Amino acid sequence: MMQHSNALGNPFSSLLAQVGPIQQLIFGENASSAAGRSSDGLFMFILWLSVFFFVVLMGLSVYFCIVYRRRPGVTAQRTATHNTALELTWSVVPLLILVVIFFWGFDGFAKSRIAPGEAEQLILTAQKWEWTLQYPNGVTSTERELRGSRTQPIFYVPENKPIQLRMISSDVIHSFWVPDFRIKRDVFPNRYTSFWFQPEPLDLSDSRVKIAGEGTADQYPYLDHMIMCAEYCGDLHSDMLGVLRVVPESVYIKWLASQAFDPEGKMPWEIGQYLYVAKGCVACHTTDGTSGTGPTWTKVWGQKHLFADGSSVDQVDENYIRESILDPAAKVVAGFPNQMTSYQGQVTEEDINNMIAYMKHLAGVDTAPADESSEEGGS
Amino acid sequence: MATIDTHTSATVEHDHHDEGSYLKPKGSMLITLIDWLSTIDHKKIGVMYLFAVFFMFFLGGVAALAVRIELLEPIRQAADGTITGSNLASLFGLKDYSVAQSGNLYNRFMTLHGAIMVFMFIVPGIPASLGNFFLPLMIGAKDVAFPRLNLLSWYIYLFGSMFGVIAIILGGVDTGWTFYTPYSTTTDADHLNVVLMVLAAFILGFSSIFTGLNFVVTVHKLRAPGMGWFDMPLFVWAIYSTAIIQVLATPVIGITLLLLVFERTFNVGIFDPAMGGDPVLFQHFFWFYSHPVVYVMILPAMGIISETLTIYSRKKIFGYHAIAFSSLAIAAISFLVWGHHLFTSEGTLTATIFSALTFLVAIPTAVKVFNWVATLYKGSIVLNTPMLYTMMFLFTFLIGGLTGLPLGALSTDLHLHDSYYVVAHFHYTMFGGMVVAFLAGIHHWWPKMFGKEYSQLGSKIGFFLVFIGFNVTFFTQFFLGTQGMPRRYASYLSEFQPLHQISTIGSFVLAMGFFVHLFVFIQSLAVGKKAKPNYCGGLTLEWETSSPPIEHNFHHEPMLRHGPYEFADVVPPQCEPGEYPMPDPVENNDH
Repeated sequence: MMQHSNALGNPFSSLLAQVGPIQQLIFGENASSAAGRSSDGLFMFILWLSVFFFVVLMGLSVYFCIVYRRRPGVTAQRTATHNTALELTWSVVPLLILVVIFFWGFDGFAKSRIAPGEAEQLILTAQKWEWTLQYPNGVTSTERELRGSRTQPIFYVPENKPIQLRMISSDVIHSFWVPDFRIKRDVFPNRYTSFWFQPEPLDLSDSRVKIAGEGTADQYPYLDHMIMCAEYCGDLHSDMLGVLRVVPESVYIKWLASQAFDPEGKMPWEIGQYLYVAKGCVACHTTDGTSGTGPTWTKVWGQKHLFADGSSVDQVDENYIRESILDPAAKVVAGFPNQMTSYQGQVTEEDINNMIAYMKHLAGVDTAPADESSEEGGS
Repeated sequence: MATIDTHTSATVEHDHHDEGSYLKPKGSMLITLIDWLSTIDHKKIGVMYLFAVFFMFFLGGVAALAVRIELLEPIRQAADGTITGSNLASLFGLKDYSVAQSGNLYNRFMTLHGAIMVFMFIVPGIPASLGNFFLPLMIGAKDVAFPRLNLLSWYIYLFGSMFGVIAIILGGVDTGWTFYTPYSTTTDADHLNVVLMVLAAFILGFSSIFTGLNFVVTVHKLRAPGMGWFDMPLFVWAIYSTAIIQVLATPVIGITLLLLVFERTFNVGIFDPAMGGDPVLFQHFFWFYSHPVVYVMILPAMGIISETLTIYSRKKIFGYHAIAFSSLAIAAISFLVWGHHLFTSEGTLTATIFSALTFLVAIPTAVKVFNWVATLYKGSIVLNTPMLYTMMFLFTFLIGGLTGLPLGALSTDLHLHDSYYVVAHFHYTMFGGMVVAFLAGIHHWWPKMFGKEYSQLGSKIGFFLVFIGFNVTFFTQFFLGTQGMPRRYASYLSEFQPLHQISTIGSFVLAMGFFVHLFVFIQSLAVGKKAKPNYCGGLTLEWETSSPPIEHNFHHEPMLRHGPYEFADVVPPQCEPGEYPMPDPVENNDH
């Protein structure tokens, strides 16, 4: 594998390679990508430039206010009201500085937009309010951890390898932001956008690097980067987070294999349970009885549902669930916003059947008795 | 003066000699009220605008405090389902709400704050109130060119504001003030909310177009005899540039509205990707209107600063032509930079071009700041409240402008876009620019408008609270942004809480400052000492009439005899001899 970090190095960034305490104060964490370090370098360059102009201009203003304060018997003095040389200087010098800033910014921008050809291709899907990442072998991550007010998906990526995300939204515009990489890119409903990054090699001296399975033979280092949605997308916009977990490549390969879901020999409801996470239903529907953005799935099958328009069904059945997945706006449960977008084209008939089986299972009406005890089962 | 005769359109009476202040009641309370509501006097309309925008600022400010209260704590849900940190929901006594619902509540307040402040306060604020009042006075006219149109624009403003606020509150609009599609259309199948909101913006825009047209014609046609273009006060130049932008940019929001209705009615995909439309197109339309409007917000503020800075330092403005032309340059370039709001969604080439154009607009802005600072040199500076606000403007606007550089540069913007850094940046330019200059202008002209002095001590206390409160509130937000806090978040990761708490504390100090100002103004109206006609030794024409001005502005048609800033050569009108001494007639400068 080729080393990309050097090729990415910004010609300007070596000027400001040292990360001082002020940069630390501003960004909290050091950038975890070459592109990020380049843009932080530019930021600090602009910052010091700004501090210089601010101190000179405000210093002069305050100095003038003190020295030339109004005193009895002292008048304002006649001074030139125009000075071509001076005025040209303070127009041209800022212009030259701005040209430098523009090219420096363009340089970092171009590099952040152009992915190396051998980058690993992953597909990122955004929907209200969940990120789903599909790996080259077709699996999606079902691992979740608590961040903020709810659990968020964990996406494993290998260290020191270029990765390119092809991104698409299934509803509104979202924006994929990894603050540690200093890059964001909007995600649209009708076209792909791309986002590429190369996680840095895990550095054990970095205080953010944690050790998984500490003390066991399987222990490995990992580094988490938060993912945030940066384009306003509604009620749970601030909960549309995720975690990019950088791990050694060997761990990544093992994890990828463990995530593969083999429907062979599984009960339909087990497949439904997998789809519940993999298709992002989990973002809005709980299985513990509490209300999310949508109704909890423990109170679906066989229950009476009241709708926002005043009508109702006495017993939720297969057709109702099918309709709710494919045309969610047709019947909106009272008390919940009409937020869900259609899954038409994203799920197969078989998927729907499996999800129905899972909802039945949650309601304790499995057609075949489930051997393994599920905490939700039988309630 | 030949083509438009204000006497026929503006006034019926010609008896100028025994008339009093324009504020003199016309009779009983009811008759006075009817007189005000049907007035075509630009001064009364300006005052009515002033109170209307004050009220909108109050509403928007309350929404802002609600936003800051919610952000005191992140929203968390315990394992048993109980929700903590949803301060707004608790404040409203809601029971049994979900995390999503408390997020929705925050989003509505955030929308209310943004929409009110931008469309109903910042955009019309200075031109419609101080502009209406002082533009005709400063060019020596008896009124604006079309006084009835002026009154109509006030009613349209009032209607548009009520329409907008009611639509947001009743419609539960949660889209933010930008109403981006497809979010705004997919959450609401009838497109009703976004159509209503854009309609409200368009109605308000119409009011701006009327005011703008009025000002353009007034400046062209009604200048006092002897006043050439380059004898105009810089405030007039600024309002004139603003008026041109308003007239040219506002129709775009009307086009957007029509396209939205068209899409909905005929199911033609324009903005909606589900129908084959382009999800980013709305953003282009929106910013093609809203970016020039950013300069509608800031140019009048720059105009005020050019006035107060010169009067309170007794200095001729440095580089009059440079400042006047930079206003026009900003107006022109402002139409070409809308794409810098979309760096994270545009193609690489488009973003690059817009980045380059954006830096161009920085030059005329920088030139203005250099000119202002140079004006102070060897002046006779008095730090009263308007001058303190003028200095605060330099301070905050400089921060606002300089922090814009990393947003105009492409690579840094990829990180900072849509983060709290942007929130802090535009509050430094909008609040630190427009609101602070508005406060400078109000304190500068208040005794002229109402004939009453106000407490210097009280208003200085208000100033210090506003200065400290503003900087505490928004300077912290730069750090939130660089550290990764996205904007429009109802909740956040725990690591951001300390900075959010500092910001909220600042916002309450800021609010206190405004209440002090409100108190000082009420006290001034009630028991203020009578103001002198020219209490600050100004040389522009509004100082040649009494405070408050008489109903028809001037007893005699004013004749321009000197430039607006010739403090070194001209005795200010209506001042005691020696009150504003002039420097030695011998030039001590090589120029």
